[in-house]
Amino acid sequence: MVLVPIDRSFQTTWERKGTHNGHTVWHPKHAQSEIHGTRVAVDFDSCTGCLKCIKVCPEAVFIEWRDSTQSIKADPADEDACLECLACELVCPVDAIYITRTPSQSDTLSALLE
Amino acid sequence: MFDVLLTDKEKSIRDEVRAFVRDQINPELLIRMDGNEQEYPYEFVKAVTKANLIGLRFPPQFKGRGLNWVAEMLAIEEVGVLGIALGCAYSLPSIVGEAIDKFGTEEQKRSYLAPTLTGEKICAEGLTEPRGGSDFFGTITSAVPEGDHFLVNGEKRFVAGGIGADYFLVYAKTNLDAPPHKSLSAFLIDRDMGVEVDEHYSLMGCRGMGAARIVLKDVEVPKENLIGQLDGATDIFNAMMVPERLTSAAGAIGLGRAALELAIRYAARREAFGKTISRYEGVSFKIADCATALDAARGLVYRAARLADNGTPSRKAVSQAKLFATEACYQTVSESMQILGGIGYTDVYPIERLFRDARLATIWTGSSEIMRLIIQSDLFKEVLNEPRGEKRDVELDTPGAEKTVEKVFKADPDQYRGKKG
Repeated sequence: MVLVPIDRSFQTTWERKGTHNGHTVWHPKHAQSEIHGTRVAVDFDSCTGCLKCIKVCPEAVFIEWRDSTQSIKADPADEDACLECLACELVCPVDAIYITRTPSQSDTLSALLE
Repeated sequence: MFDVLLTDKEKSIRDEVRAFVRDQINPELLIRMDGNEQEYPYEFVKAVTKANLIGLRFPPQFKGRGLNWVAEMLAIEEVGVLGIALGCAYSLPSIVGEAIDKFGTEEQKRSYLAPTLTGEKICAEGLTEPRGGSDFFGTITSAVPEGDHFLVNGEKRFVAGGIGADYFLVYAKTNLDAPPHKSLSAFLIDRDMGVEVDEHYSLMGCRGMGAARIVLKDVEVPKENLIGQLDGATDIFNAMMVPERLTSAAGAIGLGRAALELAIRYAARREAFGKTISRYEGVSFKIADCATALDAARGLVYRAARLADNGTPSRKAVSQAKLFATEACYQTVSESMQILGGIGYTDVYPIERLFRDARLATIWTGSSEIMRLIIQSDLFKEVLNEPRGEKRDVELDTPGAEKTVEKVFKADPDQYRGKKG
């Protein structure tokens, strides 16, 4: 099985297919795959269930979850709590996680120099 | 600072702090702090507040001395010789106090500012977050109103006094829809409200100041602990950056001065090839350059402090002082170590500790890069908004001044893509 990094453009190129644990589930248009979460997104095809993200997350964003095949996945059950520290992205051995960064850097730079 | 520019009152407070630093601080404290044997310099805070030498600018009714910015800068230069950690402990009441004194309620001044200046409460500030420090307006710690309190969630990194402080000045996002400069608020948050320490940092220098990452998880902060207006933290931040950066600058001058004086004394007695090394220009010119840089830094700090005393603090002047003084400090400590040679790299002399301290000065409270960003931004605005005609138009002082076609900068990009011409 080839593990590919999460598609960071999923919010524009994938489709919303439903919700799970309070977050959106995304599917690609012409392939079998699944991303859970939006702000904190986990590609379930790539996630190996190592759960390192659960260990490093300071805000308990992820929970351990078993899919229909009983494979363990890190589910971003509380993505609103994310602090954008990016520790989970850093430790994920398969690049299955992507955090959407907010807010825009140019806005905040202008505020700094105003 | 230069005596010729100072009033008698200013010289007097400098001498008072100089004597305190000379007599009241046991070297053992510095050694324990640097050896990671002490988490926070409680005895320093106790001694300096007992001597009524902290928060000099604040009104006597809140236990300050009612002195000016210049006086405080003179005091901080003296404390700076003790190293950056105690300089920080000394400066924090000035920084946090600025927010409370300028924007706080009378009750906040009584409950937080006064006890800080008497040593009953220790303060700290939380600005940097895991996602960054320079990008202050990107703060994502949140404070949501709920009944009579705000529910605060987030983390602050590199909090000096994260271990040791009784309360924290914390910035948090209170408006998700407003532009960044209208979205943050400032709060006074007691440790007892539920602030947790998740990491006590092991630092290269600046040891013994309890630098930590603090975590605020569903911390209930009473609404009366909001400082100033809701969503109004920009003004507080801008006001706090004056003492934040000026104290960093003045403390760094003291630190550099300490190293340079060690190097001068060493060079005057160490002999090589039949004479003291002070007789070699390779050594003495370093000393001349460092002394000149430190004096130039004093000039910039003095100007920025005087502007603040006149009620017209200048962000550019403060940033120039912080940039130049901290870079001059690092250069001076590094060159002083070079003059001492191998022995300067040992703990026989304190230069190696000062060197580790000095490295932080150009990074914290707004890195040198952020200072340059601010200076150039303000300078561009200043020069480009200046009315033309007030000064001589030097652009005309050249034979080719009328060749206006040569002064056209814009060209059609297609010209360079081979599509035209």
